[in-house]
Amino acid sequence: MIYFQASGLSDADIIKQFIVRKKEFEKVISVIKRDDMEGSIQHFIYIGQRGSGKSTLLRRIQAEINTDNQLNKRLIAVNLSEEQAGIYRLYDLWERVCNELSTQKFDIEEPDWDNYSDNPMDYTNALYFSMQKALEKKGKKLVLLLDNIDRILENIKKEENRLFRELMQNHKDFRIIGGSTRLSEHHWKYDEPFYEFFNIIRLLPLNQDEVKELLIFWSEFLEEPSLKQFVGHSEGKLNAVRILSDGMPRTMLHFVELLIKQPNEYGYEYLKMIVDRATPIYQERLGNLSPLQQKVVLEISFFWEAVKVKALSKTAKVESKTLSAVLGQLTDMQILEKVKGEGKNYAYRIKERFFNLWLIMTQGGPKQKNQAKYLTIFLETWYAPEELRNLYEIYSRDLRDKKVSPDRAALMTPAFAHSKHISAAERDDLIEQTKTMVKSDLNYYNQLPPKTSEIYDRVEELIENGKYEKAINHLHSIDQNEHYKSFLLGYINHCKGDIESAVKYYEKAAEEGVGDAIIILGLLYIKKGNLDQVEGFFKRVSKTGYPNGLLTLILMLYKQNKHKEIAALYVNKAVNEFGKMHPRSKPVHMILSLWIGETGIMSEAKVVMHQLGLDESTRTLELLIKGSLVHHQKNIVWNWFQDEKLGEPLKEIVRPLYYTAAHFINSKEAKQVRLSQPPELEETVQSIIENIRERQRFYYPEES
Amino acid sequence: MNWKHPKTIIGAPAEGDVFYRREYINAQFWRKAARGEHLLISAPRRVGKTSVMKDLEQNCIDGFIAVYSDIESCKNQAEFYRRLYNLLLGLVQKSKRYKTILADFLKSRDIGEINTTGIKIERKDLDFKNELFELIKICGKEDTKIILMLDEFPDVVSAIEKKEGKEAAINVLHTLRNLRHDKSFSNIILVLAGSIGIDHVISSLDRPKLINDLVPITISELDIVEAEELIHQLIDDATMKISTSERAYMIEKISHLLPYYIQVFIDKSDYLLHKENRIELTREDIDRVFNLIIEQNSYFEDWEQRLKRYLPKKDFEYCIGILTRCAHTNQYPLQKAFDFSHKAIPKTPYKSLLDSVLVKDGYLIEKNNNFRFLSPFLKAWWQKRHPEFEIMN
Repeated sequence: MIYFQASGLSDADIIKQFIVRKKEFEKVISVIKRDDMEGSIQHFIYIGQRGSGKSTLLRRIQAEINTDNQLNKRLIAVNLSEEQAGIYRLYDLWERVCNELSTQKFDIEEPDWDNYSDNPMDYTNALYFSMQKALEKKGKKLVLLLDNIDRILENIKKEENRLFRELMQNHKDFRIIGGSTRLSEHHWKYDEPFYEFFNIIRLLPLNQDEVKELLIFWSEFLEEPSLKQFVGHSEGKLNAVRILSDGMPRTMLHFVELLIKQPNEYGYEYLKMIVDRATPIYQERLGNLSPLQQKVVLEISFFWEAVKVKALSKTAKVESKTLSAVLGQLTDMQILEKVKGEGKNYAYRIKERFFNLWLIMTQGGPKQKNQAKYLTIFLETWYAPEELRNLYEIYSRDLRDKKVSPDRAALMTPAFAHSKHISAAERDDLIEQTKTMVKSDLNYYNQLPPKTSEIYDRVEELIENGKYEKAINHLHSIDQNEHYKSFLLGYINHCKGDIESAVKYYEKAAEEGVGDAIIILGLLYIKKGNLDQVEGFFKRVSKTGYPNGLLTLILMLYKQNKHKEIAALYVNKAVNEFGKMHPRSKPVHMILSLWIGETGIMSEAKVVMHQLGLDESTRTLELLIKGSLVHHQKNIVWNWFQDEKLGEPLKEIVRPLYYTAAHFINSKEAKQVRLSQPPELEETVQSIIENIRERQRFYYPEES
Repeated sequence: MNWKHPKTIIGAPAEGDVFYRREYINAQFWRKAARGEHLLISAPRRVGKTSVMKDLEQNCIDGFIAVYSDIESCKNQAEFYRRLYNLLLGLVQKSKRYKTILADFLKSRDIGEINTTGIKIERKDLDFKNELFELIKICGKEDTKIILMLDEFPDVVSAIEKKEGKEAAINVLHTLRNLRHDKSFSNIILVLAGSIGIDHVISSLDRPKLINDLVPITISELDIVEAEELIHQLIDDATMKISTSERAYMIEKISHLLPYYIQVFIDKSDYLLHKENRIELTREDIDRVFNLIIEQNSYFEDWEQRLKRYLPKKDFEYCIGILTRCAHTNQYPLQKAFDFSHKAIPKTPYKSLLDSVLVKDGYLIEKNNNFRFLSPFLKAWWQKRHPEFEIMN
């Protein structure tokens, strides 16, 4: 067993082995070094969980005072790490300090208890005076290192705490550096003597770099090379360990040891073993809560996902108001986290996922049934995505090679099937293989989830029958981030008229590259007309590179004559994506450019018309001519018909448009053309004119 | 980098170069003391009373000698008088002139050594109340004025009341009043200080006249210029740097400019920068520090729960309503608190809830009939906990 304990190490060893928490050390020692303790004396408390390094810090400070000649000339450090258990009165504390000073050759005249037995406070004062005198004699001040100071303050009566504080206020003999697992009420209750009296330094979880540094040091120090290898090769797992142990050095070692010794385990038994390992840490966490807080934590853990107060109130059978208060407390304690839900209500969930897992696995709940679910959760918490992929590959290969027993397959396949780190196709493949393998045993067979494709078939059927809620439930049984799942969820909500939810899911599907979702989303956004949203959406679409997505969207804007300024930014890009060589590319580009006020492109119009004329692309020609007329390009259009080379073939292909154009021109030639218009075309031409005028009014309303 | 931390002090009284002196407070004090007025310093915890008194003690003007003592552990009359006696004796012993005058007095009582705690004078046969009077008679003949600053005095009165009964507490107050009006006491100035409002303690004894001769000394929050000076003083020599605009932002953020909160803010800012190896404090850092202080104070919850535990439902609702209103305004006027009592209808008279609960227990601070949160951090927490819509009609 790898084990590390600070107490009992020599000064030299503790200095050598002090690797992390350097800044927390430095903060206190710099004050100790700077301050001669003749003016204000700053007292400190380190607050951190068990195993966070408090005792090591206190021991390190002691070692610094012992070994730094500048410091030990004027200071003496007393560390009551072992002796604090029996401190129930303030005089117990001073007695222990005096004893310790005596062993360090301080001349203490201990007062006789018999003289004070009727007034213990006087005895306390007398002891203090003895200590003060002894310190003065040696010209030294005391640095008192008190681990678990919260327990000491709790054991001592309130009136003695008053005396304690009074001594600190009235004299300049000692400085306290405490360690505590929590911020006790002595610090935060307004009527307590030590209300906001200490400078609190919180020992936060170590970050990834600190963890690495520590493990590498241990590896060398404990001559355990596997630790170093682990750091080098298991980035993901290292992070999982850090999260699991909340970055607390001591507990981290336990987990790392487990990983080194059994690196390739991933089954349910392994999970149980890890959960057992975590028990002391989590048990302590739970033990620090009030019975009501414990109940609420446990109830939330069974939900796994974030839950709203109302739903929780129902299952926990705790009145909403009380529940809200408890939820607030637990959130403040960092046990829960608040998630913004729909509407103004918040939802809550257990912050540390592994703690949640531990709760549901050890504190009751429907265990057997959900073994596979826990296993999935475990796998996803414990392993980095790429490691999980590796495990999947191994498992999938073993399955193919028939190296997996049916009972194990019936548990492991669903566990992997529910992981979001494998694809839907891989999921279906695993299920298919396992089904073939266990088909003779109905019990195992029934434990297997349906394949994704089966779920989709069923969902589509349900949508057709208008059974939306059922369809949604079915879709949620697919754990993978499947794009089609998101699209269907969007579609169902769209059908239900819940546009807000529909947009949310379409967004997800669009992110996953579903083209239809992009187009529908574009439609919805353009319909809603929020400029920022539309612009943001364009930016995204332009980045995703969905084929013709941009152009489709710009055409939507064009059709609705909205957000020209956004379209203007993307027209060129959209046309380029559409493909410059596409026969309709230029005409579309031209119309859109006219719409946004970019007229330069029309210089190429004649060449384009020429090509189109020769190719006899009637519809495209119509599009360009009508579009040009709508956007007030009557003279250009007229010129095309008058062009020496182009004119005649053009008149042949789009004759009604020739007469239409003539109606927009006020010249002798045009008048002549109008007069020569055959009567059978009159209706057609009139209808085109009306359409153009109507569209002009639509695009240029200020003129109408 | 050799990081130099700011010279902050958190919790313990600020002294020497970490103390920010406001000359007008000292001047006000000495002016009143010179007139022979006995003084009362009553302010919530964390306002900085002790630091001011310690500064006055260490920087006495000519013609005065002073001693400060936190006397909160005294819990009966005997201990109280003994403490006063020892304090006075300890103080005058430092002066050569008094030493000569008191030689016979000390000899007759077989008192040799006096130390700073006064513990050595522990002859049980002495009646310290009488001894105190005797001592005062001798000291009173001198020109030098003697200032006795007794910190946490209301706690002592409360403790005596609890331990020896109401009459004993009244007796102490009577004795002190008589001393103040005794001619032989004329060169001794009593400064009584405390965080529990002495008015509150006295009103529970129903003897307001016993302290109405005391002249109050006000220690208010810092103004913006002072706050800037304090910040400058704290970080002058430090590695961390705060630009002018960020200082202004920090001050705006803290809003209630008690030196304690500024010290805490600078200390936590320094910690953050040190941890991240950066020198310059940014606006984002200031927001982070502010939120961090709130986040790490998980006990704020108890401030609300405490009210729930101890108050009847209607009183609780009234107090929560008042606190929420204070959280969403800078100043909440008494008139509105009164008006609100016609809506929430507390069981206890509203003024008593304001004074004896919300102000006394450190939630609010009152100035010119306006209420505000004592702690900017509790205020911010409360704002989040009780959003504004709760108080909208």
